[in-house]
Amino acid sequence: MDTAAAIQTRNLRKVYGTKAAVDGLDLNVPRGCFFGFLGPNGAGKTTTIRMLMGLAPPTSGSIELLGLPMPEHSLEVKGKIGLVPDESLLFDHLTGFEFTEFVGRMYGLARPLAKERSRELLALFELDSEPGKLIGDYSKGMRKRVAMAAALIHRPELFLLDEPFEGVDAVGARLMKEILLEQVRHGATVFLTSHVLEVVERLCDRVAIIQEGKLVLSGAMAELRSGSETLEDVFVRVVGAERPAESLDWL
Amino acid sequence: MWNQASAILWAQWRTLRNYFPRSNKAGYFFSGILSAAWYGIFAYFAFLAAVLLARPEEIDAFRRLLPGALLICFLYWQVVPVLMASLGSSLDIRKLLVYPIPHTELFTLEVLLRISTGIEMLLLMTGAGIGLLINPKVPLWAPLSLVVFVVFNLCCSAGVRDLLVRLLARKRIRELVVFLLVIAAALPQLLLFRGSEGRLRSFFAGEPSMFWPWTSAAQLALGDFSLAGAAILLAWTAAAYVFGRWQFERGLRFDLAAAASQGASNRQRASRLDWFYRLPNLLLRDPLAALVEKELRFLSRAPRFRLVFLMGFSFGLLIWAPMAFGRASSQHSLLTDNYLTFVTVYALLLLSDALFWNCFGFDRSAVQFYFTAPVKIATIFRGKNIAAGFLVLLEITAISSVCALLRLPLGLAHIAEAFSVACVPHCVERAHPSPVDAGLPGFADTGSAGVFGPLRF
Repeated sequence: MDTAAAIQTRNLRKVYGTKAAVDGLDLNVPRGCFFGFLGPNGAGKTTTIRMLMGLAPPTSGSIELLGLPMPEHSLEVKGKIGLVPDESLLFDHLTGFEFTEFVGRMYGLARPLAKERSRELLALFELDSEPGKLIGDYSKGMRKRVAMAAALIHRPELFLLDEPFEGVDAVGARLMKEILLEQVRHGATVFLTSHVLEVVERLCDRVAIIQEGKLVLSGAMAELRSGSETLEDVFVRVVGAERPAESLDWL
Repeated sequence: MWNQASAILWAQWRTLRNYFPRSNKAGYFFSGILSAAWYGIFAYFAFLAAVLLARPEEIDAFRRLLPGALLICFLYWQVVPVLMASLGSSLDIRKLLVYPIPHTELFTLEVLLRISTGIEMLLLMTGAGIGLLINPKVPLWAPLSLVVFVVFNLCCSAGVRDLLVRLLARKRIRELVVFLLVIAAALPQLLLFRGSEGRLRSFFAGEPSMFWPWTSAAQLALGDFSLAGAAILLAWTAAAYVFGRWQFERGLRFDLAAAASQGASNRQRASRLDWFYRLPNLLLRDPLAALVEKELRFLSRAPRFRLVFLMGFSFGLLIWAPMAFGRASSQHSLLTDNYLTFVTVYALLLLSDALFWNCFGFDRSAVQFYFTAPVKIATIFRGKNIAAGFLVLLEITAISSVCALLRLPLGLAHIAEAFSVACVPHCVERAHPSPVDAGLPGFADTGSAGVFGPLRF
């Protein structure tokens, strides 16, 4: 079995104008791990995941996915990745079924197989009740679920998930979590960003926290929490976000 | 490769099909009829082209007319894909970046997708090609040059679309590009106004230059083979391919977030304009002052408003000038004597959607807040109307200033008359208030109120 890290970045930087959205990021995500990538709003999480997906070219630094350097081996690597991106990558004028079938075929599945898997996945995610509904008319949760279904269709080795549970109802989120845990048990790697720290705490075995584009904490979940401290306590402590409301007298 | 390519083309087809109303059978039927009529017209023209070009006795006339016809095809092909992209009926190929497809194949698909957005011209070319094949005076190889001309158009169209998509993604540049496109639409009128008919006539009716791809394609299509003609057509096609590929690669590397951040980093300009936004506070008291200030801030930052405001004293003047001061018009006509008023009314029509066809103003998302805020609705209307009135006066001042700079006939009476027009919007709005969604383009959002609004005015 290949022992190279699933994701490895070295001194990764992305500069917008004069602001560094990601500033010298060194990440190491081992294979077969459920990895949570956390940070406050505007910390650089989405920029990082967009660079990993090949959607935003880094200003400097290097990326290796599944042991292969990017973008040199991008074709080989992309075929092994499952994505739940931000909503802009969905095709609003396709139905959920059309979209998942399309994604399956983009990953090289034969059309009958892509159709069959699409049908099964949409039934699993309870998106088959309105087959004619366009993705543009979907709610936020439905959009995330259809993106998740599309990410699974080719059985990827690495999942890059940007806020996968955002807007998803409890039943849908539970289903997604179970599927992802099952994938990890079978050797896949999951890299997800989320603001829901309870979910990350329950699912992830490793966590990294980014703030203002820099990595401020990284390690195994068990090591990060000490005593009765929750992940939320660790997060607030590390990003220095303790702003007591008492400072506003009038409030 | 073929599985991916067919999947993308299939998705393009589904996107186009899904774009039309699906739930409403009558709407679907109506769309079908419209599409059939639209393409039917072009199929008919293609048939006519085939019949005409099959006539051997008209070959000399074709030599004069075909370059112009191919030029029109070229212009149509380059414009329609841009409009299609803005309507969302084109597949955004950038979304395919995350999938394992080589860029070369993506470019081939991008070029293939251009066919779907220029079917009308493809029909005409097919008709013309069939006609030429039948024509006994034209050698059998000749219509092949039309195929090369189609490839030239496809590559060029792919490049133009990618270039425009990138330009339109940048703040401020987007407005400038749209403004230039609108001005370009008025260019023929301006050229005629400047007395350039002779030059235009010689350009279109005279001996067309061999240098252009449509001329060389036409000559080759009629069987007039020359090495120079073939080399020119191939060189243009190769250049279009390089241009298309270059723009495509740049488009793939284009970072939307980076482009947006460049537009947003202009904080200095924002602070310089702050005194302007705060003007209402000198004359009015809260909450009215806050409402007017908010409306001024919002409108001056809304691209749709900025564009029509700019067009009022530029495009508006340009479009009416040939009719008022062209050589065909008399010294004193209704239009000449009331030029400023005409331009002002035209500018107000342009501003109408943003300023006074809608009772709550242009900022639809703010309406929810208005209903929850502890402020009388009458006060909100007043605030919005003060802001609208102020901007209308600013527009009229700009129009008058440009007229004065251009030394157009202008008197105090004209200026007073033009300014009095500013009262109309408020009367109209009180009689016919209607909501407008700033998030949607054109009149489609306003329903019958939007469509018939200008008539009421």
